[in-house]
Amino acid sequence: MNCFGFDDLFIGMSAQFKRKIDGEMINGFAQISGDSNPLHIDSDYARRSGFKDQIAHGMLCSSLFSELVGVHLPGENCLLTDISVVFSKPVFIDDEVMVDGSIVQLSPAFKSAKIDATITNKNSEVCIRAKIGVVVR
Amino acid sequence: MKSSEDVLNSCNEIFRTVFSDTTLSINVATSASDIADWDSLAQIRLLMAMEQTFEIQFALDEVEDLQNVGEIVELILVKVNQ
Repeated sequence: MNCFGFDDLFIGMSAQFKRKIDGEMINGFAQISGDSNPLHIDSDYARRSGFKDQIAHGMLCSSLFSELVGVHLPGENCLLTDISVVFSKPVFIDDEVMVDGSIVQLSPAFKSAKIDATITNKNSEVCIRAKIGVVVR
Repeated sequence: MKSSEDVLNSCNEIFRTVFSDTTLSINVATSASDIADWDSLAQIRLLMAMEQTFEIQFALDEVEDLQNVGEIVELILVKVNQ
C-alpha cells in the first residue's frame, strides 16, 4: 500500500493496476448488493439478451476506484469524498481490466485532489470513466 | 476584468453542479444555513470547483471565515482581477 502525503502529490501523477473480473467476484457482488439481475449471473440469459456473456455489475467494476485511491493514489492517507461515474461499455465475466487514475487538480488549502480515472478492457476501450475527489489526511 | 455579476453567475452553475440541483438559485446573501446539504465536505467541493473554474487557488486562512456567497464572490474577484 502506498502512503503518499499531500506534499508528495503532483498534477499528472498516476497509478495503474490490472484486475480480472471473475465469476466469484460477480456472484459475491450479487450477494452483497442484492443485485441478482440474470444479466449478471446467468450466461444463457445474457446471450439470449444479445450479449456475448454475463455482464459484470457496473458498480462492482467501479468499486475498483476505491482500491485506486485507497491503496495506490494517494493510498493510506486517502479519504474519498466524492465520485461521479459514467458507464460507456460493458465489462464481461473473466475480462481483465486496467484501472488507471491521474491527478488533475490539487488544492493545498483543503489538502484535496481531483483524480480522473478510467477502466479499460483488453482492447483499450474505455468502459468506465470517473471523476474522483479525495482529501489527503 | 470580471464583474461581480459574472462571478456570481459562474458560482451559481457551480452550486447547481455540486448540489445536483438544476433549479438552485443563489445570491450574495445565500449562506450554508439556506442549503441543507452545504456541509464542510460540500464546502470543499464548492471551493475546489471555483479554484478550477477561475484558475485561482485559495489559502486556508482566506476561506475559513467566509460567511456567505457574497464574501466568496468578493474573494474570487480580488484574485481574478489581480
